[in-house]
Amino acid sequence: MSIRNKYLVYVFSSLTLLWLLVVVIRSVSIENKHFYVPGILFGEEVKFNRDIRPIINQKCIACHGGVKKSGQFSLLFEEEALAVNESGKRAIVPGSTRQSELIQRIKHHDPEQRMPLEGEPLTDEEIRLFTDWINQGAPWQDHWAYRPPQPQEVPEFGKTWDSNGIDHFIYKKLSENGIQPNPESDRYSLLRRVSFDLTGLPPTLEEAEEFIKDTSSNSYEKVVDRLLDAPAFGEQWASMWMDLARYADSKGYEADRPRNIWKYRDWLIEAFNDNMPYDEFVTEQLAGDLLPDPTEKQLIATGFHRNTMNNDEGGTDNEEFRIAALIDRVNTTWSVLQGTTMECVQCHSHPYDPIRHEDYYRSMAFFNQTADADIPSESPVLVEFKDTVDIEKLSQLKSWVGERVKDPALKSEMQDYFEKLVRITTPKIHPHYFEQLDKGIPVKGTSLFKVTDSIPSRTRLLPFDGEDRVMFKIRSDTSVGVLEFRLDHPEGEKIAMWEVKRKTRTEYDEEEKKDKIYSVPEVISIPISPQTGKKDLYLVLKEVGQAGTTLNLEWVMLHHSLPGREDDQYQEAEKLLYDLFNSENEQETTPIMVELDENYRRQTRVFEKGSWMVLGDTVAPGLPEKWNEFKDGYENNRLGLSKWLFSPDNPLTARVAVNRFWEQLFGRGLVFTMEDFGSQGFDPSHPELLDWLALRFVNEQNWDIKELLKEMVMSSAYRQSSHFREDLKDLDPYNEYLARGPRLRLKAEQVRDQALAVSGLLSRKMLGPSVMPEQPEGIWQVVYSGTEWKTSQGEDRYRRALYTFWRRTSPYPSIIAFDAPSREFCLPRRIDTNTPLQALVTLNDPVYLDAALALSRKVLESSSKHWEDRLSLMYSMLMLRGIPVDKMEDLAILYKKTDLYFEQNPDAVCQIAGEEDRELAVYTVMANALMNLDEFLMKS
Amino acid sequence: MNVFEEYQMRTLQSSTRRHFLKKLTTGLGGIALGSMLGCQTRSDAQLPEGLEELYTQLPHFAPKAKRIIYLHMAGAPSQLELFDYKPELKKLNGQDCPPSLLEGKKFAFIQGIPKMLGPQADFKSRGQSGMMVSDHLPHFASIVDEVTLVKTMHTDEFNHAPAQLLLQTGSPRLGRPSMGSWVTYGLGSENDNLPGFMVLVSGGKTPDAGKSVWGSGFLPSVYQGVQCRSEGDPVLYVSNPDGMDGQLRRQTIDAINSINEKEYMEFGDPETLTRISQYEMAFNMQTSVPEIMDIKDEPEYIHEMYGTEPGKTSFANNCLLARRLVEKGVRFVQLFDWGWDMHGVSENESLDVGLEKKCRLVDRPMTALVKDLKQRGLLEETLVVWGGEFGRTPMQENRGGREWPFKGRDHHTEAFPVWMAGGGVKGGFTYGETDEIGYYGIKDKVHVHDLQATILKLMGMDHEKFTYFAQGRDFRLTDVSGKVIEKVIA
Amino acid sequence: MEQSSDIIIFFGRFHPLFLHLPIGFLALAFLMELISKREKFNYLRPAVGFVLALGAISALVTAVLGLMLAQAGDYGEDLLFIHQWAGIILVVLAFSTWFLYYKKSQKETKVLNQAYLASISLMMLFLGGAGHFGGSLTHGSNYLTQYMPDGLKTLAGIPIENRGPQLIENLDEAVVYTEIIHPIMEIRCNSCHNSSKKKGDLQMHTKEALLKGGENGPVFVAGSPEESELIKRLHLPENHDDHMPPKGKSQLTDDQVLLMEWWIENGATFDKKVAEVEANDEVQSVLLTLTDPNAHKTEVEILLAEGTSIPDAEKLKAYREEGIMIKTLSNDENWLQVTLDKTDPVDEILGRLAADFPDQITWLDVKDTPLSDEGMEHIGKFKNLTKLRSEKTEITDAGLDHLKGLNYLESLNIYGTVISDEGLLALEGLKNLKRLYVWDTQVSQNGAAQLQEASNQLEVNLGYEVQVVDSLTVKVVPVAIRE
Repeated sequence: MSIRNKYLVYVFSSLTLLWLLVVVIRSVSIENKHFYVPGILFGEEVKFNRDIRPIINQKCIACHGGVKKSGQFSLLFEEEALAVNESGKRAIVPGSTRQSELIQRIKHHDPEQRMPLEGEPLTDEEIRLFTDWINQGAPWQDHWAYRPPQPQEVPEFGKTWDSNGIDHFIYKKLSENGIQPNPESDRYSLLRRVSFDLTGLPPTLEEAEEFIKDTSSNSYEKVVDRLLDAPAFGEQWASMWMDLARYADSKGYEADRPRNIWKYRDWLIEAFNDNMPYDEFVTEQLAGDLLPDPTEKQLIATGFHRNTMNNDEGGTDNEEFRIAALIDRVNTTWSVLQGTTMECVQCHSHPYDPIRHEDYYRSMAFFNQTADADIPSESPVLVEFKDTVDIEKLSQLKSWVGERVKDPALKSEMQDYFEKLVRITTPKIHPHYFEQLDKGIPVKGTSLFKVTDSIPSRTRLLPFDGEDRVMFKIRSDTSVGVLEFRLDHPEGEKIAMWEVKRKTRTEYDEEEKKDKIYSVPEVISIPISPQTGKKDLYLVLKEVGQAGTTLNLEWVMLHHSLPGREDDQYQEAEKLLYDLFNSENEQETTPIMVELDENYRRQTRVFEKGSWMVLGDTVAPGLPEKWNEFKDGYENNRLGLSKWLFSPDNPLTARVAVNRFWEQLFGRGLVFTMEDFGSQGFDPSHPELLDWLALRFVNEQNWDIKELLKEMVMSSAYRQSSHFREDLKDLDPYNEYLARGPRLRLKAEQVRDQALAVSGLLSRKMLGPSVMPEQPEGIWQVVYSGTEWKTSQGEDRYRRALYTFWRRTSPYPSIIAFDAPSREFCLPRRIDTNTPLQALVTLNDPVYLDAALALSRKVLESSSKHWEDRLSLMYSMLMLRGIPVDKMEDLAILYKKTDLYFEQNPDAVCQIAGEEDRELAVYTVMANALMNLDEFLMKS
Repeated sequence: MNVFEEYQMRTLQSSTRRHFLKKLTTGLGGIALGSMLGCQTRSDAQLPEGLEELYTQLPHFAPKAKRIIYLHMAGAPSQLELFDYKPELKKLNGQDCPPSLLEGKKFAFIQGIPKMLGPQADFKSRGQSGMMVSDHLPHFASIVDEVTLVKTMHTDEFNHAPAQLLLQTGSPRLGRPSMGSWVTYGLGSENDNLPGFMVLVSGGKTPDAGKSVWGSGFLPSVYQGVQCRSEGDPVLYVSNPDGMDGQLRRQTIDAINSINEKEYMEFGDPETLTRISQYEMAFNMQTSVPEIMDIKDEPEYIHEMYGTEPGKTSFANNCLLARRLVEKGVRFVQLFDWGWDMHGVSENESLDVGLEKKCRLVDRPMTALVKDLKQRGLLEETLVVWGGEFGRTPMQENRGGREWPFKGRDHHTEAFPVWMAGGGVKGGFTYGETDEIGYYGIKDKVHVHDLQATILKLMGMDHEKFTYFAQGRDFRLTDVSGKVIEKVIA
Repeated sequence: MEQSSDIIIFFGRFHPLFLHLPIGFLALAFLMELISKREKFNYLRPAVGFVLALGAISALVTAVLGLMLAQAGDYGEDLLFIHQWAGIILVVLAFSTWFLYYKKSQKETKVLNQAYLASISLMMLFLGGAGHFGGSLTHGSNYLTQYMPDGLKTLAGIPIENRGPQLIENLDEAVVYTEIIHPIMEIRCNSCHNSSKKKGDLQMHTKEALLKGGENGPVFVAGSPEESELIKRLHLPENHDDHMPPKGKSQLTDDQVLLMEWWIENGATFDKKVAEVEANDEVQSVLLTLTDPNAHKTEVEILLAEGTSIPDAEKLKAYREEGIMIKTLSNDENWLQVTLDKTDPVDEILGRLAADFPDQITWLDVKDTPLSDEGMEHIGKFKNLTKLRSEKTEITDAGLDHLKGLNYLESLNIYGTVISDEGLLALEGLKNLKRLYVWDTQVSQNGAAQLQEASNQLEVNLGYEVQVVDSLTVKVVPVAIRE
């Protein structure tokens, strides 16, 4: 044969052999063969997060994850995935598809064997991905959110459409998708948009004109700075945070009695206005009480987690609901600060994310050491004396202590101790920690516990060390008997005794037309013979004779006696203490977090399957390992937790924060599911931008919120006009790429505030107790609770919505209608709806009619006299821009009809306008119509 | 209206249900959904395609019931005086409660060792089925053959608020959508002038758990129950301000919508179109709601039958209203009647006086409701459910460990009755048996979730398939359990 | 990658085609080798080499194609593994045999001969192996035994796989275990408790296995269901860990549980016939459904269960766009329900519906509309109508005549119309009519009573007389005719 043919043969056969080789290599299964064989042989690189995780989460994790571990196989953690499972086989053997049971099972022909069981088989493509992935050595990746933000290059580009770094990232994405952004919004809309976003209020007509006139290059920036400094700024952002803090003026549950915690709300407003850095802002709320000698404000800040609900329903188990609150604190903390849904981990390991069942209780351990215990008094509360007499007595007490304690170091400490004793009064032993021994059967106390001559009460293992007095709040129905405090046994060693005395109050009874005498509670403090260690304390009532005395106690506590016992004015000093505890003068109380002292620490144990009745192992404070490490330096308490949150390598704190502020401005988070950054949430629309903002917020802006917000509102992305575009309808229906500015409905509070503002009714009075603006009759019909809605007088009827008294079981109707949450639990993201009930509010709620009336008055007082001028003026006052002709036509028609209507129904005039002024009536109707326009309820 | 055509075009965007739900969470869909689903219009043509999709999922089965009237006796009536006849208990009356019944049990108020308390009412066998019914309910006795009585309900919660939440939302904690919200989310209303889920309250108080028992939880707020009030506006803000009549309101709304159309032409925001439709609906409600809430035009003998007095707040009026609402195609009517919590601490909270009073107020109207539905042929497609949130102890309450002047029973989770009528359940049928003192169910126990599963089944929905994705997972009304009680379905 | 792998698979697909060549050649070579030992066929020997060569080469090609095909990856890995390597070894053997033959033909030695024979017979072995496993790959591992007659199978000790429960012809003669209990276990238990898979060390696919029990001892106590583990577990709440079948698997129906209990109750026999075991009414009625699933169903239920033809989607759409509420009863049924409104031209629409969906419409709601007798005429054409709400309309006695043909009509609502006793006569033929609402019409008690005579299951509702009682003793009488 010829040479050529020969070569052909060689070439052909060698090629065939080579091919044979490749095929054989690919199909032989040697564990870790990827170590010695180049990856290209196994097809293009498979990325776990991009290609594999989605399949797992969609088709496998339900049975092989945190909830179920069928066949002892789970895909939650890498080590679990690679481990040997029940069958003794390994599901995933890197490099060897044949030894990987997973591959065998997804390909299996027998439906009883094939995975997913009783589900659709995986597609060929999915199977190929798994195969290649395993051939490539099954490289695992953590979910993006659990890796710290990565430094990002700001994309280059010379476009004019860039005001700052943000735009570079946005534009990159846009151009990748071949989209052009909208032009800058018209100045009226822009001003209105930014005013609402930063202060929650519309700009005044004057502000608008000023802005239009100002042609300087930084005119917009000037406006932004003005708004950032406005007091209204704090109110706007406080009301945002109040959803997260589930702030309310009532306790929730059955009776839903009022709660006095408005000082926390005020703290929020001031914190935002003072531009408190985000890390301090959060730390004080989580652990203000644990900071070195905390200020009063820092204590108030801890109200954040005292906004949990409190169940006063008769016969409820206080411990059960203390735990409910505790759980709420854990969930809220994780949701608000880490964008992580912890709820499911209560009962089992997280179904999708690398969080173990016990992790839940380890983070619960951080919160489990506070003194609050779901008791009606809400103790511990911070008392602020209002009456000068009390204030004077308090300082007298302190100076007494100061003078008696010689050691300067001890001095302030002791003064501090006694001020706390009077103003916070912890640790109290509450009734449900007492057992009433009824015929020997122990019965837990509820809101009170009682002692009679036949029924002693006891509490277990009270730490006596260093305490030499016992204090208790008691109500007695006679003055006969002796209350004895004994150790370890009803007849045990007697350490203190108190001559029963009945304190009474006399009141004139309207019905019976005579004075009536009531027993009232009294706080008593008596010395005890000093003890050491923990002992059971028995309260026994003796020498009652025929009187049948019944003592009802609200709490008992041990404390130090005042210094200077030898002093002859000692009696007066003790009297001071007594008076302060029993003062009936006005005082302001605010629930706060107080950490229990060493001796009173609780154990935190895992709840099996999430039931608090079935206790598992004891756990110490700790956090999921996938997150940053909990360093030794950190305290084992809420303060440590906060340090951990703000350590530079925490992957989520900053991301979640910037995402939240972003969502407030753009209406849609970079991560759409603000409440869930986990693998079930949405992936970020602009991952690089998210990381860039996060790192910038931490490193360059040092958690400066105003600076962050300014950067965002200064961006061209934010300043675009919000016109929808045909070309985006299919390309980007939800405006993820931000080719247009946000067009959103005003928030519930803003809808109301705007109406009051434009009509000039809005009161700018800030801070203070919540108010009760006009509300329809019979909204409050809550059981077992006399509290009623007393409409506030004067300007308090027209305060900003965030000052409205918020009752969880029946919130202010017109606010709730616009999607405000009931604040029973933390709500990370309001969902906007658009219902007829909303229309009815803005059409018929008296508040909006007051506004309409006031507005039309303003218009009539104005210089414009012709009805068309007046209408266009009114329009401009609301929309801050001139009225388009075509809209004017519609108004004109309505105007004429309305005018005719009142001409025909003269008596209707007074009903609408409150006076015989037809013009006023007509314009009121016009205003009412205008205030219901889409453009008024939306911000464009 | 050309805008509506435009609107249809717009809303044809979303194609799959998943996509649609995503839309929902963006709010935009929420609205489209709101207008359409909260009150499904007669014409499916107006539905966004996403909804078409949802409707092709539902119902899963041919529905037996198209509407529900749920009569919730808040406070929990005592089974032992009404439906669970226990002659044995009579004999034990006054004896100390055997400790075996107390071990590991938690009660709201009972402390130490309580005494057993015999039935405080006489029973008779009624109807062809011979169902034993208390003499407290003479009217009810006449409809036992229409009724399925479940004697063995049990729950996990022994306090009112959590128990009511568990019953109405499937979870003892706040924040879940109520049964009515789920149902309207799934099936919508048959009337485009009325919300799909309406609530009527009597007894002077809202239920212990407050408005959350008809809240929409994580479902969009369009699905929350709309409370009809008996004084003031029947629905908040539904009536025009004094001095403005319907015609002038019509004109203002015309102007508003016409301007909004122009706004839409300018910005092209679909939400503007939804707002237009919402204002239309609001206007319709302004006329239809007061009309339907006004019972004066009912004939005299109907008032006789129910014992209604126009203009008053009463369970009777609410029963009549309930009939009027379902007649108009409202999907879910929730009645709450407060004041059944007979602890024996006062005359009105006692078995010997208070309970009988309550029965007199409820027996006649609830019976009338069933009969009236029946004679209109509505009963066969309307499910009526009656019950409390838990039962009461066979022991007498001894709150604070002392004797009380009146007879009362404490909260009890192990056994309580619920009766259902119409909507495809059997008539004259009793399901489940309790032990000789009515303390435990001993045969065919029914958990609250089972009841919910059964109700959904009757409405044509599979409680395991009917889910909503929120907070990172799919939620169901029946949480993670629940089994349909096939035996009660006719 | 995508591209090339496709092309590879394309070639691969020729494997099944090609593989017959090596089988043929090599088998032939072997055959020739064998018979060429006889003088008579000596002349064949020289040709053996050639045939071997063909065999070897074709084997190689087949192997390569095979490996290509394997890339498609839709084969059970274990079998594939064996088949593939059997194939590859075969190739090697084929070549070596050929090579040995070649050597031997040059210079014959004892060693060579033996090596040659060993190699060729080995080759045949692998030929068989590779072939068989190849077959198993494509036709499934049981492809040999699949159609083996049951008799043979039992001989061969191969389990007879279940064919699900079947209808029983002669109930009394049916053996309780084999024809009732075993089939239930087959579909609900055996997927986990069978020859290959014995969860909890329990097998239930044979009598012996069942009697043997599982790791916790026997599964049932003959004669007492309540003590039988099997029954106990069936009754546990579904999300209890020990509940059987496990949560998520398809559960037994109440009836099936009842039958199991009944079987154990009566000694859990394996040979007794139904006739020999006593059964209470409840069991009886369940047993009946084994012979006829519809035993307890009404004609209407049967009709609805059977279903109907698919309605024309275009037409449906058209009606909807018109604003008419017309939809299927449920997601997976074709039956239609229609609701018309006051404002609709009812009679006219009904005319069109009767033309478009005469079979599918089964629920019709025209209450409170201007429906007239003309409309009733159209309604008469919906031959599968089961529920008709025509209350508060303008229909008259004459209108009811049109309903004569509606054999499946179950519920008829005509309250608030002028219908009188005359009209009711038209309904006497409707044997499936269960509920008739004639409150607030001209219908008299007698008229109603008379109609009710005609059908025992019919309930005529004339409305209720108001009877208010306030004492706790008075009896309350509804006017319903049943009394």
